[in-house]
Amino acid sequence: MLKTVAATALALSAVLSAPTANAVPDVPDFVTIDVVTVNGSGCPAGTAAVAAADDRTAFTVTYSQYLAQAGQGSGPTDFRKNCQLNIRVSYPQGFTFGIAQADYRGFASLQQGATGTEKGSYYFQGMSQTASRTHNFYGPATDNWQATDRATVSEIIYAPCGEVRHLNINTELRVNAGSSSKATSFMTMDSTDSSVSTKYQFSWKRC
Amino acid sequence: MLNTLAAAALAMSTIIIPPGGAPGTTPPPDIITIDVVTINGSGCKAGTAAVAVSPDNKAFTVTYSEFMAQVGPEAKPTDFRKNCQLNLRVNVPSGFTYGIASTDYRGFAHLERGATALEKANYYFQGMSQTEYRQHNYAGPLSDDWQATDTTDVASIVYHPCGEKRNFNINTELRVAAGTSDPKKVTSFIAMDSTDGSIETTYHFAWKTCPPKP
Repeated sequence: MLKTVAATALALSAVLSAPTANAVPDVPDFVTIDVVTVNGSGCPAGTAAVAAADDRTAFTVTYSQYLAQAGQGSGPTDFRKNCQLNIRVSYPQGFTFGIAQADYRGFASLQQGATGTEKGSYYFQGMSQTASRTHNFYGPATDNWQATDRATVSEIIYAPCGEVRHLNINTELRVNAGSSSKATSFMTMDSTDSSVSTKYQFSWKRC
Repeated sequence: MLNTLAAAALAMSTIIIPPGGAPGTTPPPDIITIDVVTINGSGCKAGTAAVAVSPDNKAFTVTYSEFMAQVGPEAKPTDFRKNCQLNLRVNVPSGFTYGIASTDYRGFAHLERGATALEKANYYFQGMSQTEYRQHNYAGPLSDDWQATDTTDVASIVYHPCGEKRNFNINTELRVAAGTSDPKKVTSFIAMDSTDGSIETTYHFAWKTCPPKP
């Protein structure tokens, strides 16, 4: 199985945010995440399903037609598809540190000479700064693939003091036929899983 | 990644000071908030756009599933331009304020050598002819994500005649031109994945207030 783990922290050069005045009163004593919207060329309406854990610290999104392809039988714009998740992150009072992780799983059928790419772009609503992680796969390959991006919440969860911003994860799949343009190469994403675990740090910043 | 940042403020040529308006002496009490009222256009037909608004109503994200302009052997002659228009309600607290609004556009472009594309946004108030626009250009060969940012002073964009309410329109468009590439053989396209808007309320040293109603 192709497996790439990029455990490097996302480089959102962010200021650690203190608990905000806008915290929802009923939030539990740990960080929770909720999927607000799922949309993109790889996951048009009706093709993605979201399953959230009861404690709201993890979710799974599954896709029925998230597939990028190149080569024979492929349309000229089929080589790149995206799916963007908009996520509400809620933090408890007094909180601040944790680990967020996203796992991407799918299948790749890549001819000799073809390449496939999974890319995750992470940014907060209303902020231009974008962090991204890319995982490349090379043909010949016909197997499941998996990629993991991990970040500390203090880096990933940034909102200016007193403000609340949703987190966007824009995933994309790209296939380049390369020297194999006769045959078809494709890459699918079957699921995206994200989770957040809460840790208490010895010190944290306040607004 | 292509990253075009146009931080220049929108130069609305007339920043209208209400008659009798005078700098105040105490900061206004509230913040500016925005609501997305409608989303529609050739690039974002019903069911293809999703909106997520931040809990404080100061930022929103719109994502698209088929906002793409293209030229090429399989493209229709009218596919080279697609648009999506957002209609926003901007809630300005009484007494007015000053702040910064910004819009981030993100997407992907595949442009053959010789082809060009642009992302353009028109900004205007409902019922007012005056239109401002910002444009970002891309040239092939290129096959990568792109991002563009427009930033403006709220004092200049958020104008409504005192006592009147006008929604704010942002009409975004994507265009592709084959240029010197051969659209009978190769395809060039530009897609928009998301539009993010936000308003940061800042307190300026001087601000304007509407005159008291007679």
